[in-house]
Amino acid sequence: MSAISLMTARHIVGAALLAACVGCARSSALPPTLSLDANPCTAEPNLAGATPVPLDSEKPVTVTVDAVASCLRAENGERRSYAVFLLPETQSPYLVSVTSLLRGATLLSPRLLILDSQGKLARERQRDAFMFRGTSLYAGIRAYPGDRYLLVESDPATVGQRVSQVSSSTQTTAVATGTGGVFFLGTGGDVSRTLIYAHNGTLVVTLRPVPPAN
Amino acid sequence: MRLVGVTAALAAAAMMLVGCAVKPGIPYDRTVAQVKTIGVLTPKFPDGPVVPLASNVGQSFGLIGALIDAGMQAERESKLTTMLKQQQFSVQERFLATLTAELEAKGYTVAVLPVPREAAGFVEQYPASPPTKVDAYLDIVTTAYGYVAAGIGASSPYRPLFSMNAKLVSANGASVLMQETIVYNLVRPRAGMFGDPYEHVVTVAPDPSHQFRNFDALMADPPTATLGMQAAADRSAQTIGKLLQ
Repeated sequence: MSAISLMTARHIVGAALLAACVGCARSSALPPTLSLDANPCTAEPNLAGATPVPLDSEKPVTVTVDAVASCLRAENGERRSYAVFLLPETQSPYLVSVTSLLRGATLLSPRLLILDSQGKLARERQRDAFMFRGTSLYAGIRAYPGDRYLLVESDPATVGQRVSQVSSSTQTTAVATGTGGVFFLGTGGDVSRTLIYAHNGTLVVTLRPVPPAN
Repeated sequence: MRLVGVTAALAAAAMMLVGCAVKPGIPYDRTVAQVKTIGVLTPKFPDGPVVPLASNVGQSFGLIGALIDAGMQAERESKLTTMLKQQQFSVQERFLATLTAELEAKGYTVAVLPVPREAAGFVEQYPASPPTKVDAYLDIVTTAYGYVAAGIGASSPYRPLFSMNAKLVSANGASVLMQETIVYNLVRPRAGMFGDPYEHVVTVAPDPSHQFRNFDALMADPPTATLGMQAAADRSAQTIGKLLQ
């Protein structure tokens, strides 16, 4: 291989690395947990173990829900995995965002509940309130003074369902011309993926103030 | 004149596809908002459909290539506009009809309020004395509708596109009760060092039964192409209904 072509090859590799996604999402695969029948579940969530979340949009809290460690058993026998978060004490309402991230093909199928300091239900968002943002499921809810806990549970009615999703994307890659210049090549393509709703997965919770009306 | 028009089309397509980072949405709290009657303002729509190729070789070869691409896009859009007219399909009418039905199914009383929409974005001043008393105004700006392909080739077919910004504002204008950006069939640019500008967009995956391997195939099947546009409008309106349930 000549010196010029070797240099060109290095430029192309280098340019490709530059074009690589610096902010690539955490997407390591997680096998889906589709049944909690063998798990020792409790009737009430462990509120004492709640993960605190600050009222700061720059400080989201990420939790991986381990279906073995945290499991609730409802009166009707339904079993749900859960994660509980400690909300800040405030004088003003604020916004709560809950996102379930795709882990390989596994997507925790969530519902969320806001509880007061006694653990009593204040308001909730059922599973059908969650919407896709790309491959993530998201729901938002408003929290008010007196709200103390955010409980995110898996939704047994949808666990095990498989969803096919087509998504399109484009990217721009810098390519060396071999004569010292660079041009940018645009390409695009489609990806078809199958998501599996599960009892386990990764949740991201973000709190932020209500923006002023505009 | 044609060069100016093509250049404008190029700029508009670039803005539509790349755009600015979308801000986080504002979730709706129905129990607190106490909204029973929604005044749906005349949704803002662009002048016609768009049919971009989200990426192609022409874009990679400087201004000349980009201008040629923009010219081809303008031709596709003209053909699609003519076809939708021949199919007697109005995306504006379909969207508004589905939206009204969805909101009524969710228990709201809906009043459609015609307002002039000269400005590009949301209404700047909401009606002070509407003909029907409402509790909130639903303001929708459709930023693009049409068909889009991520690239060239059978693996990147043309699929319907529908994107909008939606806002529900209290009748006195004092509170934004809900705000989201919704895109049916988002063609997402790969996130770079500044992150994903569409991270906060509510996305609706396209129906795979409405896709065409190339633009000629789309033009050769007007009924299916129209059904695809209809599905995009319907699913987008249904998404607003879900956001307000």
